[in-house]
Amino acid sequence: MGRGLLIFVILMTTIFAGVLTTIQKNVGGVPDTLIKNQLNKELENVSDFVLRKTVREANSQALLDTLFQNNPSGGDMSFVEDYTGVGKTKPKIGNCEIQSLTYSYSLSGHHYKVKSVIKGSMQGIEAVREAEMAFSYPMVTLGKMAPNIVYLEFEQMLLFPWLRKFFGLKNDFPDSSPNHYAGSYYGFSFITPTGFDQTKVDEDVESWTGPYSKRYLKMNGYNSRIVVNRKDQDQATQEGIENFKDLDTNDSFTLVTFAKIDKAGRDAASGLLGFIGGTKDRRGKQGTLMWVPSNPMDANLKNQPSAAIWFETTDQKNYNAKGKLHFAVTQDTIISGKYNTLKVEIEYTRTVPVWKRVGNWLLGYTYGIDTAHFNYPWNSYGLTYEVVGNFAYLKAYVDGNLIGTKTGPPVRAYPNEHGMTLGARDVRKADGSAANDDEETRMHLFGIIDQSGMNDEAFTPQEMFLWHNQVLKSTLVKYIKD
Amino acid sequence: MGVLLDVLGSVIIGGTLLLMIMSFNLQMQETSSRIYYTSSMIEHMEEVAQNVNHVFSMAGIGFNKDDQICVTASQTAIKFKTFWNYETDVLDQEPHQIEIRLDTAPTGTGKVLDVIQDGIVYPLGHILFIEDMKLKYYNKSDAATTVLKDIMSAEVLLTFRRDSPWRPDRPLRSNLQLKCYMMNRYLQEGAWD
Repeated sequence: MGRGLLIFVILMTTIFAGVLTTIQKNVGGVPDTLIKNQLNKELENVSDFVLRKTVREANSQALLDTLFQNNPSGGDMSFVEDYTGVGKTKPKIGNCEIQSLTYSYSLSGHHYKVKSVIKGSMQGIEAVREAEMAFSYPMVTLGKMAPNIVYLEFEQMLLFPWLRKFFGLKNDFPDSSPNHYAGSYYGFSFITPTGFDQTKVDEDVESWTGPYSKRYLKMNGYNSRIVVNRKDQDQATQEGIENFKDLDTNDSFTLVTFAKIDKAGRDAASGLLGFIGGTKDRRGKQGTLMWVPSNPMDANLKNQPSAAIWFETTDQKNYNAKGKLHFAVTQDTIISGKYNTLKVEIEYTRTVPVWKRVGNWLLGYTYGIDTAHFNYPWNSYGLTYEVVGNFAYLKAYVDGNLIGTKTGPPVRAYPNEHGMTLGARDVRKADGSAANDDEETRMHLFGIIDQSGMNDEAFTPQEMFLWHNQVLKSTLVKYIKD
Repeated sequence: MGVLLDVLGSVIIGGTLLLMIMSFNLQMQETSSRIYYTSSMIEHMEEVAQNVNHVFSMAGIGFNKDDQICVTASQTAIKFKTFWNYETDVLDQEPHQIEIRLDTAPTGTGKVLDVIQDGIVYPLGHILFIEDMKLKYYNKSDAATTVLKDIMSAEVLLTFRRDSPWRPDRPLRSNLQLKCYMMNRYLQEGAWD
């Protein structure tokens, strides 16, 4: 009887303990849920507060001045206040800590986005909340479809280049890529080599340094060009550039540019008063868009670029609008005693009146920008080179569309040691110094150019298409991501 | 005889006490299960609300205010355009079409809410117990609408079905009704232009 009772008591105690354990387990989870909810609410409030504060500060004069000092040329810039480092005090609000605040600008103080990362912890439970807000931020800067070695956007006026040259100042356009190359302007322009597209009444697209709208670079067809010089790793290290990308043609790269090529070409102009600044007929000497030389001092290689895109006037008698577009890459391999060149050539008819002769017989004739070109869309030209498997592929693009492919042996392109030239060929004298600005074998571009760059990988056809469309439609986005 | 009566009395009293304790235990267990169920459903629904709200709020990013954002909108699904990438949660260069809908095939833990981006299905499998979803759309003035171009917010009615922890044969249903605003659409419509 006693044993029976003992067993009964033990059995009941076991059942009771089991029930209590279940209750403990179930009820024990309730506080965690409540704490998590409370923490999330707090995190949400703190995140809203911090984001609002960050938005306000992003447009403060003090912050803009600080950023401006570090990057006077404009372009894209990003500034991160990171509080997570050793010895740093994280600003704390209630149970939440601010981990980092990021301010990103593109071209102007009006185009910015801010991002906050807040971490909350309460009674052993942790949660992180990220929030982001953008004001008139260009879509084109959000993704990856911008050349990453060098990207010249020509958004600066570069006033009186001849005067700057006189005082020994550089006539450099800034590079929007993180590698901080520069596009040095050569040639003559009295006020500014850049023009303003009056059809874009888009006040949002202002440059950093003033109320200038979307600009482009004028190529006068006889002495203007842009030169991008290479820099080495040591120089990049000294400049504090991380993940530096060399301006070299190797086994994978992309060249892209926007341009409008004048449909008539540059005829002779008498110049001011009939003799100052007169120029010869250059209609048959068109029109280099991008030129990455192989070896400009070598008689055999000076016309075989490492990579290049150019227009050729084929009708040397009538100089009509028809011609050929060339996309070429010289490979680092000799076939039949000559460096092998892959080339895509297409028939191409120019359509845009970019320049027009202005003046009269008394004061003489010069060329000025023809505002009629605003009625014509921009064209883009690009090439990609890529070694894949047993072949190297050269692909040519016009307006974002693939228009031709050439294949060759799987070797890299001829090494580039002489930088890149836009709007003209890289022509040098025997001693290696640059030929005159108006040397006609430079085959100057007569037109306008914009958004020129080089990427270290070959864009896919889809990426090329996107790049073309996005630059043309630099959508400005405002968004909240919370 | 006296002993038998004592034993019988003690068995009755002891049994009654035992029954009381057992009944108390069961009540305690049921109460704790109810609390647990309720709190876990609160957490669950909070998470669902955040997820659904987030997807709706990103509609229309990168498009002009005059563009038609909604591609389709029915009682059970909505498809819209945005430059936001659901998969990576960042803004992209190319626009995406994102659809949110309830998968009709039931699973052991309810139906799955699917987010479909450009034809690729991203099932929100972690959101359990969903039985039904109903959508109703509103315009900028908060008036009900079916005109795709006018849709600025949606009322989402989600029904959760979960087996009762104490009566598995009688499932419990919880309803979550939330108004999801296409926040970034409002932003484009705002006075910042």
